Amino acid sequence: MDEGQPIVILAVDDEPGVLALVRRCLGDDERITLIDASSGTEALERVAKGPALDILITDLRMPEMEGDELARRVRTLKPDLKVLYLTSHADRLFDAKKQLWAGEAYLDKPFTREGLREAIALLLVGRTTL
Amino acid sequence: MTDDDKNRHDFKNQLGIIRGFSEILLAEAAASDPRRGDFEEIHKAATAALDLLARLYPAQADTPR
Repeated sequence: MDEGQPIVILAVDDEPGVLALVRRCLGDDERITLIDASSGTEALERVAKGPALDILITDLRMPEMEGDELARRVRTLKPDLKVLYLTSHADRLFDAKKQLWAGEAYLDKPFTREGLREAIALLLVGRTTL
Repeated sequence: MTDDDKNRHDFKNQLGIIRGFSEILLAEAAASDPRRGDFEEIHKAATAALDLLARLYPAQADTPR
């Protein structure tokens, strides 16, 4: 990804407060377009008709569809998509996925603004700042 | 997932939201901002509550299965 290039992020969490916090953490970066969804189903609809995404940020534990299943489905549509799992249950992630694939990472909840920004930058450009 | 697991998860989520927003407020408040002390207290209390939650449920806090 080139410096200064727009970044489109889809954030998915069934807790509205977490989505509000993600938006607050990233909202002052003009390069970022943030789309959010409160479930895996809603996220898949956004992916199907939305703009090209650069990164999916998803809660791991959600009703209906869990984050790792959502990531698997989105990747069938967009194989190059980066995925950041937000989870307070990292070891549960590895129950379902014995390893993280290239282009995937996880960030423990509760997260900080700096932690979230650094994780996104590492996934997208391989360094801690965008 | 048991009800207890879900409740713990949801409670931790809420505390994380409180701490996250208070951290941002603190980071953005000028040194002279009279509200700084209030933001610090909110942040401190949320952090303490998260620590307490981890102490109350050490084995289950991050292993719901």
